[in-house]
Amino acid sequence: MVDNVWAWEGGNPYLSTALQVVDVDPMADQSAVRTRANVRRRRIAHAADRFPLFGRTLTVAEINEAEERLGTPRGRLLAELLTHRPVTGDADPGELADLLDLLDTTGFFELAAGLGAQTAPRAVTDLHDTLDPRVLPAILPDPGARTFAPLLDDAAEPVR
Amino acid sequence: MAGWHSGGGERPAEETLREAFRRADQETDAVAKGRLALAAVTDFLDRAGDDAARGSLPLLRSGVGVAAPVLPDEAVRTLCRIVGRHGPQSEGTEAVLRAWVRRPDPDGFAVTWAAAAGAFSAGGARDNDWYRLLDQVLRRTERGGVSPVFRRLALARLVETVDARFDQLALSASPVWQVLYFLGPGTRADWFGVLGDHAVAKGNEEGAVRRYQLALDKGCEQARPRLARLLAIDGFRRLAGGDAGGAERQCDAAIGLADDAGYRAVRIAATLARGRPATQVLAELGKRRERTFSAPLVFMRAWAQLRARRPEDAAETLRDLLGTAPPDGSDLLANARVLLGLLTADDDLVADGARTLLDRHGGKWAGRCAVGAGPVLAAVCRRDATLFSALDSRPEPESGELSDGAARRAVAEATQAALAGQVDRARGLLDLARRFDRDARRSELIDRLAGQLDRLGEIPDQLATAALRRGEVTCPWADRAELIWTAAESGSADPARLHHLAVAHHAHAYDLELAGDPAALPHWDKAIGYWVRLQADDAWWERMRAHLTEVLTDATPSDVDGAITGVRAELVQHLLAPNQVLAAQLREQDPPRARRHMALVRAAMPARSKVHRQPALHAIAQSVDDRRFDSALRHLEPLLTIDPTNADMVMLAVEIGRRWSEHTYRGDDWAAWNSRAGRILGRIRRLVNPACQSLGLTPRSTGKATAGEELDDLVQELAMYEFWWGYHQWLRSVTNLEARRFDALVESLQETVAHCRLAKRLSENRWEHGMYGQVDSVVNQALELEAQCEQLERDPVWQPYRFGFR
Repeated sequence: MVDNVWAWEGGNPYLSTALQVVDVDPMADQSAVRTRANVRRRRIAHAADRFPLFGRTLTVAEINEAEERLGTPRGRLLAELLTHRPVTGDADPGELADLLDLLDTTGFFELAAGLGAQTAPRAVTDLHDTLDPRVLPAILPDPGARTFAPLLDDAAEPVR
Repeated sequence: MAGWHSGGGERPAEETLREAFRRADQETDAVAKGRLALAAVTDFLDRAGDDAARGSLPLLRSGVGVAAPVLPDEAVRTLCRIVGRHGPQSEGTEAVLRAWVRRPDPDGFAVTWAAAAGAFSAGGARDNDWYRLLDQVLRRTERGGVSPVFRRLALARLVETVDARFDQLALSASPVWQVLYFLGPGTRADWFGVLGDHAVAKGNEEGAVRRYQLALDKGCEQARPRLARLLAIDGFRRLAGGDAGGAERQCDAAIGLADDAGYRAVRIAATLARGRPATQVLAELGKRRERTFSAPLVFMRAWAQLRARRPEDAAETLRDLLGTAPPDGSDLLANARVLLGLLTADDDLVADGARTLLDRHGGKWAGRCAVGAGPVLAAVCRRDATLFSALDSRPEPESGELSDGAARRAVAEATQAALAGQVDRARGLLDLARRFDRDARRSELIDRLAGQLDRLGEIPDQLATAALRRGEVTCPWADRAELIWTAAESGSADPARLHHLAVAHHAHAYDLELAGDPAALPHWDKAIGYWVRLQADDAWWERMRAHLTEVLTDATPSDVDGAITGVRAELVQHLLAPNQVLAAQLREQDPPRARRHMALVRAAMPARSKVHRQPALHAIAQSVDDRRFDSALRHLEPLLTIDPTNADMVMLAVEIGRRWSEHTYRGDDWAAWNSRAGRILGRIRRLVNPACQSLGLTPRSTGKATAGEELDDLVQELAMYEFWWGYHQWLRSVTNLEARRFDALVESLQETVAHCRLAKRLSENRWEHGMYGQVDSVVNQALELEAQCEQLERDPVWQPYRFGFR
């Protein structure tokens, strides 16, 4: 039976990936994983509650299992699929904070979330006063569209 | 050439004529002979004096008579010359004209006719002598002897003549009518109808109205709808010209002659335009059951409901309209969107409708908009700054709330464009924002944003990642990160962004679902959408292969390949496992959420049957085989309620309906059967309706069903179920008629026709025999009965309907 990391087991698989448990980023090679797992094991063994993962206290057994998973191509691949790829760039935290603030100020987040502008629209309930009946002819079907068969056939006989 | 040499005393000119005839006589070709004879007559007439010619008239007539069978037009014209000079000729005239009506020359017809009409009309009423003579000639021509060409050409001339002098001739005893009766219809009523059509074709609608009126007065029923149409057209023009009262009168007259949804639409519009109480309009609209869907009438119902201060009802009516009418880019549906958008605070809908009006009418869009421009612009400025700018094209836009809204919107859209790397578009939007902006603080913001457009396009991933940070922790999801990546992803083909979005939305969905928050569903939906795209992206998997090879130094390339291939193949199925579990868990406590999860699974699965075919269905199918239909349906119902468009289950449901019907139907006890059918088939109807709608397998779907070939079996099974459903409705009609429930009768008849026709369409007309082969008979009887409904309702003793088929 192939294990399914996304199976519904009462938790969020994205908050306990093998990479998070061992505390390495996706670019770490096997040697870095081993080194980090050793450090992590020691820390958890001595003071597990000081190193929680999203509020959850880890166990050494979990570190062992995660390290084992990260050592196999399938386990490593699944762990990476559950983790954001590292992003590189030259922006420093200060610039990023400024730009996020700018995005806030421009109303981008409301727009992108489909929330519209800062003022939510209200239903217009007094439309009855602005209805313009001059529009009506343009929405009517052409009463002349109806066609009729000729009254006489080719031999000039009446068609009944 | 017998007869050429007979005659009285010889005179020099006549001798020349005889000599010419003798020469002609030697000609063996009949046409050449006729031509020579006519030339001799013409030559004689040119040269001989009146006295000499008068003396030679018999000889001249005989020459013309000889030419008539082969050169009838020339003969008639020559005869006309003789008549013009020496008066009507009693002998031989009819024979020459008979030759002409048998074989006229189409090219020379007009000239010949004019010559004859001129020559044979001597004094008195214009052309009457000619018509009398022609009538006499026609009636003495042997049966079938009148050439169709003559009939056509003569009628064309006579119709033109009567058309030009209609007022004078219409009710007169002119002999022209006798000729018309011979050549065409034999009654004045029919001719008035034909002349009405003629006037319409020439654009003389006023004249046509008089003719159709006369035709109708004299019993030509075909004039009735024609007259109604012209009156309705006139009503429509009056309405467009501002004469709503005149429009009402004309439409009333039209509707009195022939009821038509289109004419009534004009009538209702006129009533609305006159400003009459909306309640009166609604009463008018409610008077009649609509047999066919009429978008203008539905729109005007909403209009009247608005006028009656019933905005909720108006919104409901407009929703129905937009849900039923096929999208056609018309003013009507554009206005329906605008109105509904305004009534429900749906700015997107308003913008959508306004965009259509702008596309169709450019700067004159406001003149085609059912409401004033103000509320429309107010909604659009919140949704689409570019559209707002196009709609509000004044050189100096008004300062105030609308412009402020548009400026705000333009700034937000510019930011979005910059994150997508569309810097030029972002600059354009900022220009637009500056045009509308009257706020100093926003001006500063615009300047600041303008300086960062390039930068925003360069580092959206860093920005999104920064948004994932909560203190010292990087979370897998955050609203702001999702929105930034969504904007950036729209402008790039980088699979890494798909992965960021897949991870963020999926993690978000798990957290919300664990908290019992139904807001999880859109995140499940988006996450799976991104995962499915990623699964199909070769570049992504190649990137992962290279990465794993680099970091897993102990693994062989073959190990890595195996992992990549295996995980990629099972990815979607594994991702959907939670949703399948959740659908099962939520089945009892929250069926709508359970359905959403199953719909999501179904939409994402590459092959539907892989995960859906459940062992439970085999047990139900066995029950059907054992004719335990109630039990089968009872077990299928809860499954279909959760997964309403599962093709296997839908097929099983309609199979239950079909097999139950075939097994239980008894014609001699149809009433009892139909009562049970209403319950069994009705339950199945409700179960399968969602699937039928999603596959386009409904009576209202006009195009080809959207079901693919793999659903052929389902479609064929559904066809038989639809027949039984239609037949059940037909039997309901019988009961309704007998109980004189006419509203219900009309409804059940329409259902009969709709579903039997659907059955026939789905079966692709393959049914010929047995119960199913009678589908046409059911349809025809239902249509016939529907046509008689009104009369039956008004007068119970009027042709009591008898059912011929049960």
